[in-house]
Amino acid sequence: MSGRSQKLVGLVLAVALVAAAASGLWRLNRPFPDYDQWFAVQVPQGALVVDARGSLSYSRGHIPGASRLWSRDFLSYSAALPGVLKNPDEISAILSAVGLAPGREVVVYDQGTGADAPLVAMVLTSLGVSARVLDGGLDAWVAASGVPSTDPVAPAAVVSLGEWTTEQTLLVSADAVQGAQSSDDTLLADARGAIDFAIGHLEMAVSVSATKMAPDGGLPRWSEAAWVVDPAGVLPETSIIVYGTDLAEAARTWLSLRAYGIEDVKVFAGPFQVLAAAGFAMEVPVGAGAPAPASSLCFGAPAAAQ
Amino acid sequence: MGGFELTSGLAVGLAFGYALQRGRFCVNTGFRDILMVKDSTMFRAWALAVIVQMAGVTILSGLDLMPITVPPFWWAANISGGLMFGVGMVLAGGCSSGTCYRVGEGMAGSLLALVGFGLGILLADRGALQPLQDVLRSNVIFVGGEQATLANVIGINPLWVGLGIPVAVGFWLWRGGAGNRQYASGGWAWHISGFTLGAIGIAAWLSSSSVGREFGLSMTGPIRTWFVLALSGENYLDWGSVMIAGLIVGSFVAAWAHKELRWRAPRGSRMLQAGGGGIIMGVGAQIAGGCNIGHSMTGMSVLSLGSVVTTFSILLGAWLMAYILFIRPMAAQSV
Repeated sequence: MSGRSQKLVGLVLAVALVAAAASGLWRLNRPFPDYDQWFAVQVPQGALVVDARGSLSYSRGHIPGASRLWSRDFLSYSAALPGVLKNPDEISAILSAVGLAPGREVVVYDQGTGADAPLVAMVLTSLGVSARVLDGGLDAWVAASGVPSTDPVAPAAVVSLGEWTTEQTLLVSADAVQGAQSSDDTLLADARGAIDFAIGHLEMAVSVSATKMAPDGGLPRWSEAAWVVDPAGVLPETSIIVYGTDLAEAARTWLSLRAYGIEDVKVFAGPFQVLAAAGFAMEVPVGAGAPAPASSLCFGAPAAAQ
Repeated sequence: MGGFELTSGLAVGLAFGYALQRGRFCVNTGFRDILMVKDSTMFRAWALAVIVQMAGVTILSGLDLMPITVPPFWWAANISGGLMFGVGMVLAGGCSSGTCYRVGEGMAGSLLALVGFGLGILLADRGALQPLQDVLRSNVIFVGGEQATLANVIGINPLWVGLGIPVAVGFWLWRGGAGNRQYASGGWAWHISGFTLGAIGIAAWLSSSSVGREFGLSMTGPIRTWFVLALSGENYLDWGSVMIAGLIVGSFVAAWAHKELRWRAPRGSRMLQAGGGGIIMGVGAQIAGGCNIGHSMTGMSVLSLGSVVTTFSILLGAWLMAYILFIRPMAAQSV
């Protein structure tokens, strides 16, 4: 091979390398397609701000003017079935008492962990309220020079229940989950962690882990979401039903999937335990596609990442 | 495996193999020659590759443009695995990357060493030596709840360490001279080789992380995926697996383009030594959680204490074996 050809080979490889690095950098930092629809970077003027944390956190400091609406208030608890979503009338009563009015823009925040805000945003969305999550939560707001307030917020006027436009389609029952198990039209997404998924999951479900989708509770990098979503066979037009250990976990995956651009994402309105107790068909993965043995894990990353 | 994962892994692997072959880059040679022939040319190439990658990764992660994963500090596994790897690579006649690029050049001994390397990995990962691996890896040391790094051990901002080391080592390399020395006639000069490999390391971080594998160049895990697929049918192929395939093809292309491609097979005893060395190398790399690339280049670039300890252990193991295999016999002959 002549000297010129040798240089050409080197040049082609160098261009391919630069292209791989540049596209990798872009993929790592590209925005989510529907980010603006579901997340707010700042608190917009005129928006109703909702603090989704518990009362103690709220009393220690909140965004001035923020109403408190703890995500756990939406759930009913019992020893047998913890964390089941309350019925629409009960939820509407809670929201009405806080003063949420239909048609008003809402921004929800938590500390920044994603433990509370996605759940509140999901419930509000299910009732037809346009709600976005403050990206990074209170921690990010304070880091951007925000000064928390400890002043109490005056109770808002109660809004009558009749004014709500309830969209019952987002949160679905166990019947819908059962239907998805026997249908090719809807994908069941398990929002629980990889280990829980490996131990046992609903038949036909794929792992779309909330922890991977939203590490540390925040929005993942686009590439991290793609890494979870793409192998699961999820396409933008795919209909999905998400379930998790609890609703907060399912809500984190729901929010990431919506921001990722997937339109039809529904959530089972209860914990996985309900489905397991009801005798839904379960599956334990074996052979190809199963998680790598623990000894294969290296650096806390997938099996091959060493 | 997605299309981007496939093409970007292949692109990085092809460039990596090409650069390894043109620079004759082998950590075994670099570490061994310091002791045996008092020549630090290849060692300098390695050091330059490390600091270029370290500076790049520090800047990218410091600007939050790229996530990083720090290899754990499981000290017993790092030390024992590193020592084994160092001993094995001298016996095999090449480190993991050196072995792979020589396979692309047509060296039968390296092919046998690569097979031994893969079998050694499986032996420790899921074979008879798995309990030993588990015991050695059981004690992981964290600093402040995070993986131990040079920065958090001494309590300094990683930016200072990640940029300070490249400046200091870069100054040493610049002052040390060695000019444009090549390791082999017709190959790249050490500084071209070192800089190029460092740049490829950065590209690997970006490309690999963008498909969810938040790590850079590595050999042990990717080689394991191919052997697991071949022997058990389990498919864990990922970006790294494609990169390894590209590496061998890239070195083949480089050797072919520069008329250095030819089939070479050493005598039987040397072949056996290469295969045996490969097995020891594979066991050591699997136990340590990486080899001369995963630890001594990529892990070092994120200041992992485990990688630093493994690298020193590899160096000690290589020197020990070089003394037993070469220096002592030569000294006995000269008496």
